[in-house]
Amino acid sequence: MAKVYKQVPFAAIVPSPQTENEGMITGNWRFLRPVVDKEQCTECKTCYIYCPDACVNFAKADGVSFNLKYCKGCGICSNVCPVGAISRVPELDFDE
Amino acid sequence: MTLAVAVDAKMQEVTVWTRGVTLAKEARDTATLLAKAGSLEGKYNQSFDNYVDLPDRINVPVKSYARISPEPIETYYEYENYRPDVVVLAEETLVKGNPVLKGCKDGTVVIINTKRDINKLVKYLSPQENLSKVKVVAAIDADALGAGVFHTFDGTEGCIDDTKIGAGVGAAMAAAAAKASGIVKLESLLKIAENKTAVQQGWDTVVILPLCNGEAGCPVNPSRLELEWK
Ligand code: SF4
Ligand code: SF4
Repeated sequence: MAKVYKQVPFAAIVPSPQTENEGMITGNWRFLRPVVDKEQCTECKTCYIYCPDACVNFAKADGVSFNLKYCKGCGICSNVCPVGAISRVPELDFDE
Repeated sequence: MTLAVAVDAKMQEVTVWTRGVTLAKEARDTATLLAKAGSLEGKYNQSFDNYVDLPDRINVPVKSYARISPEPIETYYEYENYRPDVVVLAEETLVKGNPVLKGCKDGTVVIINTKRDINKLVKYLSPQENLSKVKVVAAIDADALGAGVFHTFDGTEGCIDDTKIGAGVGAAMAAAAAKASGIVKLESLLKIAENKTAVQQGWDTVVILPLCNGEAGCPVNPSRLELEWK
């Protein structure tokens, strides 16, 4: 028998490795948006380690940012930030 | 696929959008209350949840449905309302990123559980091309009225629920939906809901904003929105 399982993409339906799955955008689960105060942020990357959705990234030159297409607003990042740099703001306070 | 809803020409469909687990019971209550109230008025009814939407995930957008018709309902095996007449949003942020107006009919009534300025929420309603079909947008601050049963992790999933139907925000939302759409009467809801105060207050405090006259292509008039909304 052909090894059918080898034809199944890794991680079943999600081509992997990748950080985004356009078929399962979960940003609309969020009603509070994490907002970082860059003055306070020490770039310790604790939020990056704890975010269960891998939404925190430091790729941009201006420090920490969140991938809002997938951030569910769970607030874990704001709970673990040792300097309290992340606040949670109602999503509808933002226009975009 | 031919939609069986075409069979039920007089059937009215209610879609209640909510958040998985935390608010699921309240949306189910809203749909159940409206359906049961319809039955008290001698109409046929169905109410059910959508189990495709991952309802056991916290805060995921999920839907509950009700169908009310003066004639026997032929639509049995479609577990989704494709053409809603009434759209209820149990939580205000659901206006963002969810196609709540998808498939809606001319003259659709939208009810949002919010205390925010409705002008700012209307612009998020999507798909935008269906906005012209919306007759009325109503705002109800059901969180304040149904205080006590909101964002709870207890009693949200069926068999362990002992809070009875319409104990919390669902009662106020059902009353607001009934008043804005006329789909059922206040008296019928009062007979069924556990929290009769929330029903009465929901009925009394809902703010109803007409957007258009319900005819096809009737444009939304933003200046009218500004004037009539308080
Ligand atoms: S945990 Fe706080 S201080 Fe550390 S990188 Fe994240 S936002 Fe900055
Ligand atoms: S709120 Fe939750 S999902 Fe969003 S960035 Fe923080 S930890 Fe990640």
